[in-house]
Parts: sequence; C-alpha cells; structure tokens
Amino acid sequence: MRISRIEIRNFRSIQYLNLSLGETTVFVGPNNSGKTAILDAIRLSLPPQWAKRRIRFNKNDIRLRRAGDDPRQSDGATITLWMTETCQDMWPDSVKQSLSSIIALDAISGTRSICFRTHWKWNDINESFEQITEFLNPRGDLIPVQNKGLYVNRIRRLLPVFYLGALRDYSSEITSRSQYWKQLMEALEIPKELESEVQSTLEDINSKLANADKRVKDILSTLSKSIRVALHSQRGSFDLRLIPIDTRELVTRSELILRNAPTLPWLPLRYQGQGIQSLSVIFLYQAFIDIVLNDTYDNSCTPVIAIEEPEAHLHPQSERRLWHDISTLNGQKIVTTHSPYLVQRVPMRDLRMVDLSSESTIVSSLPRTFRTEIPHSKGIDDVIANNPTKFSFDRSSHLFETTGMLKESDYRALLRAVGNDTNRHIFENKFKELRDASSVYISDTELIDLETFALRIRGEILFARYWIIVEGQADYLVMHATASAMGYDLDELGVSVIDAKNNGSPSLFAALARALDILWLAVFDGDPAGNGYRKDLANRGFSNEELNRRCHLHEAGTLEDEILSGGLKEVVQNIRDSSRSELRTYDRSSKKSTLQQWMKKNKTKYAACLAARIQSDSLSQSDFPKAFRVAVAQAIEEGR
Amino acid sequence: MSDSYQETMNSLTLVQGQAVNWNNGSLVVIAGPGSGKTRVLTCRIARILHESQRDSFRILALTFTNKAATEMMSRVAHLVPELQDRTTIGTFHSFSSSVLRQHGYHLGVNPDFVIYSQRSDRLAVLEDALRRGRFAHPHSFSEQALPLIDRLKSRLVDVDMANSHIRDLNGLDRRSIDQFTLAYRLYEEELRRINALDFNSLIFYTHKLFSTYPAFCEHYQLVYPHWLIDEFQDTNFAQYEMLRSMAGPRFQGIFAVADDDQTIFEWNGADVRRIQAFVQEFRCKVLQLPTNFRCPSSIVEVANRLIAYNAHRLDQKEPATSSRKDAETDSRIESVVFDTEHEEAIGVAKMIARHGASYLGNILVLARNKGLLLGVLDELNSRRIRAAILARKNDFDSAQIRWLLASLKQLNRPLDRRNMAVVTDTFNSFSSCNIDSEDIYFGSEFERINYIVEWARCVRDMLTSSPFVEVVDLVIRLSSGQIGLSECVQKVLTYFESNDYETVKSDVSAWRRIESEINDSTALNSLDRYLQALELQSKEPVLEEGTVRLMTIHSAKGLECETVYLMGLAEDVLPSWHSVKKGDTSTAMEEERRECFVAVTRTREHLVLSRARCYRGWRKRPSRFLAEMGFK
Repeated sequence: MRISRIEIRNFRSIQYLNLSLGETTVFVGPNNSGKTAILDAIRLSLPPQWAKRRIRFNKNDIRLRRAGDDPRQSDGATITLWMTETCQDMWPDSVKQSLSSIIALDAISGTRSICFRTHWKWNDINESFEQITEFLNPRGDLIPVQNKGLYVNRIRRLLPVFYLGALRDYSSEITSRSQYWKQLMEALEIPKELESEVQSTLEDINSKLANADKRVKDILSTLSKSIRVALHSQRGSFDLRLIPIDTRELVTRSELILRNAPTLPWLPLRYQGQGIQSLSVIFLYQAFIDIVLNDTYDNSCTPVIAIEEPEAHLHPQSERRLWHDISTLNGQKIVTTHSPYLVQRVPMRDLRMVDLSSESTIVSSLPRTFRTEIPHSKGIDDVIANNPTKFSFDRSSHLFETTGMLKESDYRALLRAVGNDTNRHIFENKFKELRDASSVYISDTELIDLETFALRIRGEILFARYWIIVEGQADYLVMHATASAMGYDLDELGVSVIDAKNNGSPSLFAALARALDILWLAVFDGDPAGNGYRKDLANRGFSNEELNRRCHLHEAGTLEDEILSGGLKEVVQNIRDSSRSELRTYDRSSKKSTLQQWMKKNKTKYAACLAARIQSDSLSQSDFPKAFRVAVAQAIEEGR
Repeated sequence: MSDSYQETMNSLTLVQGQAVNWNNGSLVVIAGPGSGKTRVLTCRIARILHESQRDSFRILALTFTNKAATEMMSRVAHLVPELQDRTTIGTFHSFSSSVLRQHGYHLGVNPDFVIYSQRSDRLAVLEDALRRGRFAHPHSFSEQALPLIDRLKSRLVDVDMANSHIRDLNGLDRRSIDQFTLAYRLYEEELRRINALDFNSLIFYTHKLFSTYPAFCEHYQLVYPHWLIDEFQDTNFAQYEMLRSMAGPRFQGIFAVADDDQTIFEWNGADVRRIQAFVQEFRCKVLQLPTNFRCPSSIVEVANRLIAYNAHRLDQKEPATSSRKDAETDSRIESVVFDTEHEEAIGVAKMIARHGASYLGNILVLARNKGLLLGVLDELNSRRIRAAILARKNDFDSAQIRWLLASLKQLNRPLDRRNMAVVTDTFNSFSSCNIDSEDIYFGSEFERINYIVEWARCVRDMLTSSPFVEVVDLVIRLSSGQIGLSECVQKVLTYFESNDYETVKSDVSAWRRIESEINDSTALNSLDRYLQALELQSKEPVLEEGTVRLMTIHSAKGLECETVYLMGLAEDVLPSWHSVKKGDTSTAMEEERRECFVAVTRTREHLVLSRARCYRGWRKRPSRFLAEMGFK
C-alpha cells in the first residue's frame, strides 16, 4: 500500500493542492515555495508511533486569508490521503482484511481504496486545536466506523513515515540518543550467554582500570562521606564506572569508523567529511527500515521515506549516483531537492515543480491522465467500452478520466454520445475544460526522447524560471552574447537558453514549459526550417495569438543572414580572417568560400569568438540580431 | 490463551467437537433442542480465532435476534479474550445495515440513512408519498398498500418489476394494480428523499449490491472466509437470497446450524424445505446433534412422538435422545383441564402461586397467542405475583422517553420535519405545553435558527417555571456542545426516572439495558452511531429478578426454563383454527406441530400442559397434539 494522492487545504503556504504521488516523487522548487510543507503534511497525518521527536500541529500551520486573521476563526487545515490499488490484487490479503471496515471498492474493477482525512480546527469548548480524523468513501461521505481509532492506528502503522530533514547532523543521528540509531542497536539480538560473558568481562576491565591508580580509592572514600551526610546511611557507597555499565549501553554507545583505504587508519565517522556523514545518515535509515521495520512491523507495511535535499554536501558525481540509491530504497520515497545533478536522473513523470504564486503554493507536473467530474451517462459508457484503455469513468466519484490528450475528435465523439441529455451543457463545459487541460499532455515517447537527448541540460533548466528556446548551439552562444551586450547575465536572472535541436525538438520544450508552468519564448531562423518549428508549435495547440507573442523569427532569414545584414558583419569578417591566418596550412577549402558559407561551416567557432569579443571590444547592443534583443528584453520583462 | 478455552474445548462431546473442528467445506449442523448449538457456534468461532492469531481475516456470525448476538459475543470474548475484535456478530439486519453504510453509495444509499422500523412511521411515510402523488385517499390507501409493498420487498421485487407481480395476485382490477405499483414507487422515492430505509430495504439493497457487483462478493469472502448462521431454519426468502448472492457459485465457508423441526417462522417466509435446498445448492455435508442435554428423557420421548407426525422432515433425521435418564418414579409432565379459558388462567395462576416466591424466576408460561397470556397476567397481578409478557418492542411506551429519542434524532438531522412533529407532540402530551409544530417551522425560518432551538425558545416562553425547562435545556446544551452526549442522556434519564409512572420507569430501564448492550464502544462519542445502535435494539424493559415470564411460543425461541406451562392445548387454539381449516396434512398444520414441539422442548425439569373445554364460549376438543404426544 502506498499513498497515491494527497489533498492539502489551508496548510501553511498552501491554499489548495491535489497531488498524485508515485513510487518515488521528487519535488523541485525555490526556497520557501512550500516543499517542506508538503512533506510535513504527510508527517502530520501519519505521525510515526514510535518516534520520540514527533512533529506536532501548531496554530501557525493554518493558512490565514489575510495576515492578522485569527486562526481560531478559520475553517482549519485539512489533509486528505488516498491509498488506491492500481490493480485488483496489489495489496496483501492481510491489509484488505484488517482494513475492511474503511475500504471502498470500485464496483466494476474491484480495486480497493482508502481515503483518510485529518482535520485541525479550533474547539471552543476545549479551547485548543483539535485533531479530527475520518475515513471517507469516494463520494466524499463519511464512512461510519466502529473503533475509528483502531483503524487510524492501523493506517499509521502500515504507512510508517521516516523523515530526514535537510539539516542532518551525523553527530546527533548516530548516537545513543538518536531515534533511529538507538532503536537499531537495541534491536540487535545478543544471546544470553554472550551477554553475561560480556558483562563479567566489563566488570573485570572496570575493576582493573579502577585499581590501576590507588588515588581512585581515596577519591571514592571521600565521596562516600556525602552519602553519610545526606542520607544518614552507613551502607551506601560510591563506585567508579570507567566503561559502560552493561552490554546494552555498550552497544547503543557504539559508533561507526571508516577508512578510505586498507593502509589508512580507521577514523570515527565524525572525523570524516560532511558529504560522507550526510550520506551515511541516509543509509542509516535504510538499515533502520530494513531491520527494525521487519521486526516491529509485518511485511505488509510500506515505509514512507521523506528526505529533504539528500544531495547535501555531496560531489556532483555522487549526487548523480544518489538517484539510483534513493530510488532503490525499499518503500515510497518523497524527496525534495535543489540538485540539478540529481534531477537529471529523475524520470520526468516523477517530478513535481513547486512554486509560490502570490496566493499560494502551486505544483505542476507531467501527468499521464486527466480527470473531470461529470454526471453518469449511458452514451458515455458506450464510448468507454469502445476505448477502455483511453477512457474510464468511476461511478461513485463521478470522475471521468482520459489517458493522454482529449483530442478534438474525441471531444466531438463524447458530445455526440451524450445526445440530448438534459445535462448536455454540463457535459459540454466539462469536456471542453478537459480538452484544454489535457492539451498539455506529453507522451511517453517524447519524454523518453527528452530523457535521452536532454540529459545534460535537463537538471539545470528545470531550476530556471524562464526558457528561451533557440535552434542550435550558435544561437545559444549569440543569444548569451546579445544579453551580455545588453548588460544582462541570463543565468543570474534564472533564464535558461535551450538549444533545442541538440536536445529534442523546439516544440517539445515549449510544450514542457507550458505543462510545468515555466514562462518561455522561442527564436527561430526566418527560413523554411524555422517556419516549420513554428508550425510544430501550432500543432501542439498554441494559438496564433500566443505564437505571435512568444515565437520570433529572424527577419533576414537564418542567423547568419541576420548577422551579415547587421552591424556585426565586420566583426565576423575579422574573426574569419584571424582564424584563417591561424589555419592557413590546412584549411584550404575555406579560402574560396564566401563569408556566409564560412559561417555556416564554423557555426560554433564564430559564435564562440563573437561571445568572447563582447568583453574586449565594446560592441553596441544594436549590432546584435533584432529578434534576440527583443527576446532578451521580453524575458527580462516577463520574468520579473 | 484463557483456561476456559481449553476447558470448554475438552468438555465437547465427540460430535460437537466434530462440528467445532470441521474444516471441509460448507456444513449444516442439524441441532435439536438442547443439543448445545450455541456452544458449538461459539466454540467454533473461538477455535478458528485461536488457531489463526497471526491472520487478519474476520468471522461473520449471523443470528436471529440482537439478544442472541450479544450472548454469542460475550461467550466468544470469554473464550478468546482480545481476539473477538475479529468477529462481526449480528443479525441479518445489523450486518446488512453495516454493509450499506459502507458500500451502499454504489446504489445511491447514503451512509447516514436512518432506519424506519415502526409501522406507524412507515405508514406516515407512505401517506406523505401518496399525498405527493395526489392520491385521493392517502390515509386509507396507505393502510391497504403497505402490507403489499412489504410483501413485494420481502420477495425482492424491484419497483420496475412490481406491476407484473401484483398482476399475479387474485382479484385485483387493472386500475388497482396500477395504483399499487405507483404507491410502491412513490414510497421508495419518499424513503430516498428523506434518506431512510425500512427493515426490508436493508436486505433488499444488500442483496442488490452483491448480485449486481460480484467484486463485493469476492471482497466479503476474502475478509470473511467463515460464515456462521444460527437458526438457519428461520431464514426467510430474502435473507436466503442475500446469502446466496454473497456466496456466489463457489463459496464453501458456510457453517449453518438448523433444526427443521423448529421452523416456526413460515409466516415470515421461512420454509422447511430451504434447509434441504441449501444442502444441495452449497454441496454441504450434514452433521446431526441428536443428543438433548436440556430436557429429561420423558419430555424428549413426548417431543419425539409428537414431531414424528410431521411428513416434511429432513431425510434420515435421527430421533433425539436425552442425556438425562429419568427414574421410573419421576413425574415430569402434568396435564390439566379447565372449563373455560378464564378458569384456565385462574388455574395456571394458582399453580404458579404454589411454587413460592423464590422459584418464580424459573417459570415460563407459553401460549400460541398473546390473548391467553393476558388472562394469566391479570390473574398473577391480582395475586401480587410479579409477571411480565416479553415481546420485541420497536418503540418506547412513554411520551417522555419517546420525546428524548426524538430530540436526539432531531439534533442529528436538524431539518427533519416529521421527527420535529414527534418532538413537539410527545412533549405537549406530558407537559402543559400546546405547541404547534407548524408554528415552529414558520418561526425558525423567520429567525433562521434550527427547528429544535426555536421549539426550545417556545417552551421557555410557555413554561417559565416548569421543571421540564431544565430537561429541554440539557438537550439544547448538547446541541451547542456545552455538554457531552453521555452526560445529557444520563441527566435526562435520571430526571425522568424519579417520575412516578411505571411506563416511564420501565422505558428508562430498557434504555439503560440497550446502552449496556451496545457493543460499539465509539457509539457514545457519536450521536449518529448512538442512534443507529438504539434503532436496531428491542425496547423491552429489564425484568426484575423473580419475575414470571409470559411469552408467545415464537418469542421463546432459543430459551430454556426449569418449569414450563404450555396453555391452550385445544383444537382451534393450538393448532389454530386457521391451520385446522387448511387440513390435517397441510403445511400450516405441520408448522403448528413444530410450535408445540418448540414449546415442549423449552423444559428443563417440569412441563405443565393445560387446556380448557371451552374457548370464547365454543366447546373445543382437546388438541390433537396431546394425543400425538401420548396423552389421552
């Protein structure tokens, strides 16, 4: 069992969020955008029963409409979790049986689901914030449950949450006081005989040490006077413990030591680098989950592992590897990260982009399915029956779902099927909304392309706030040069320039930007290829109006044509001449070619030189291609 | 493991142990009177739980009455403490109700439906429905239509199929058929509108859920791999169909305990042939428990002789044997004759009086109908002997307690006008108020407050200094959360308890008994669940110790007693006039004989058979059952 969906209302920076969660889900977003709030929402609804340091609900957790509002007057905060089987026998029988009273069944497929809601609200009588837990059916009605507390405990037991904050400190995690380490060590099974053997050895060592210096005896006898004074007792006495008092204490006081090579000395972990310390804490969790969980919980439990910034203090190479290590942890993983290197490896569907708008935390992702609530209709049932892999309808929640895009033809077919239903206008509006919402759909094949070609840039661009999509590498370089000439540093402003041809296709990046709520614009050559890209965009459902605003073409034709027709022609000529003198011996063919042909052949070269010259020669910004200048200005303006 | 577990297991007879340990598909245990069937059922539950402590599956046990369920639950809890959480023990109705509260939304049934169990409530619902349907005489027609609607629902006939079923009834013209069909439809629509279900709907919708969506059968079979059914012989058509729908074609985990000779609910749709059909359909093995541990051998012999006259019995049914051999000198059975039913009542009362006060709690007086019991009750009362007629009661008797119940319901469903009228009327009847509920609706809409809050305001205006104001305030304080449910109920009950009226006192004691039997520990924290639990329980009061119990044979099912008086052993009384008319070999006559069999086998020590020569002024011959039992 795992959490398939979470709905959060009025909690910290979140007004309303409804998120699907997978086997692994990675949240990416700027600081303070609400990532931790999402993890905390999960921790609050599923507080681990064994943890001593437990997160508690606080009145400041309630999101207020206006600053200064009284949280006691608000509707309170609500966190709803859904656990849903994706196929009929996903959950073990023991789970289906022990949770039978709170399980809802899909009448047709027989798949099971549980909806668990936790609500915090001010209670006037108790004069405190009260936590109310309830179970709901897919229609949102309360399920009357006998022994509700029992089921709340069972759910929390089946989904134990392990949380690892961003600020992890080895020295506090692996000590006898730590929640994980201590339990891990306490779980070790020590045979009785060994324990008593160790015990007597300890006594032995202790007395040897204590007798090593006779002054110890003097100290003890002096101290014993205090007993006589304080307790009026002749029988009490002091003794000195130089080593732990028993085997258990010895074990919990253990620490990890490490050596980098067989020839180097062993050193305690706390003398190692921050990176290895931080990482070892993560793996401590793995060990804890593997050992303690199997002892305390049965195998039907699914640990929910919430990790903030697992990359802390790690080298980029290790950060890349980290994804593999995290994704193979046993349980449901929920991760926040600021690492482009980590994000690089994360499948696009597992990513959730978090941002803070003026109103609330918002989250965007690349879903495979899109849903809308509609009344039941016999006609629609027939359409679904004809295409069961694409469409589905849940009779209890009234949710109609489409996998992939709802195309115009699908939309029409559905409306035809509805016929002259009295609710026709509802269907029309709902399907229209669904058609528009699903237009951001990006197919699995395209995502695979992206994961193959754009691996290098993917991590980085997902942290940008604005994308400028250009064709190739020369465009990339000249775009940056243009911005420099205009006095801007695009990286610093959170604007990523994407050379789309090397990493997929320009229209795919635009679609991605739309789905992930990233602002974008594109500059293409004013030639047939560039016009083709614009056409691709139109085919993705971008309107003409939008394209006029977001898609710019070089007036003169290709980038080279544009440069040659403007103020940079002399600079480029200069670059060619100096490069010819360098290359005279072997680059004969280039002698005869025109400047334009030369540029086409040495795209990256001239562009790189051009970029370099901006620093030395003071080139005027008006010399740069007009479309690039417009793009930079627009990006700066909109990105603000 | 509790000691009592091992002890009880060791004390089982060979054949009881066989039943308890059965692991080989569905089984029907034919358990004669006093054969220890409840023991077999509870031990079987305990045994399965005990052997599966690491598992999570649950056990379903369906009984015929809430009382039997409570009894079974406490016995299981005693045998395997801490494992009883894995059981669902209840009646067909309470089980259906929980299924529907959880899954009924698939059929459009809301989880918070209310149950209308009383005939008067249901008549009012039908009357409202007919009024909405612009029927000419909604009041009189509702009296006519309700029994027919009940019949259709207990045959699981859907509204859409009703017309053709009604057409099969004799003597109805076309117009009546259409009217009845429409009445059924309107009644169901009205129930849905007010979010209510009647008892028949509970079984009806549960059957519908399982038969429409097989996914639920699979789920329930996984969660409940063992179903135990008590008193299977009294399962009616709808209940049996519900079981069949739940079991589907393959389920092999049913364990039914039945006695064809104790089928006495044919009028309610039970059928002796159902056991046979069940054995065949579910490919059950059959195990007989013929040893009677309750009755002395002379009574077992008498009962055996009697029931042998029935033709419709299970094949190869073994005759019962008693575990208790009488000595020759024991006289266990007495037969007495009086001239009239009045003298019979006096005679029986005198005989009872002779027993002495300390023995009275060991006496059970049985008769086929309540009429004879009323006569004895009068006579016993006039001799200052404590006695009571025990029967299931769906509602409280006193206006005070009916008012409390209605007020709580009103807090739970603030917009229920029908219930608000009950709140107003009951309160008017015991206080000096005369509030009109129509005024309340108007006033509360005007003031934009709840009906009950507006009503309380009116009460305070009208009764400035009456002590009843205090009680009303308790309810209002509960509604605003100033006091808890339990505190409010206890204070109101205590207040009314000091009242002088017997009916109020006995209602209060009934309320307290029901509260103690509610095995849902969370009910006290939730008004909704509390009311649901109250709704399903019988409202009869608690008997004081040393009370003579008077019961109809039907309600004495499952009981046993030291001394049993069976009255009215005359033709046209037991057997009834109705069955005599049907003929000597009719199924009705056989059912009467089974009733007599059930009555006789309640006896642990002494049986008194009484009759009068004359009932209601007509001479009646001695009951044929007397001769069949071997009395002249």
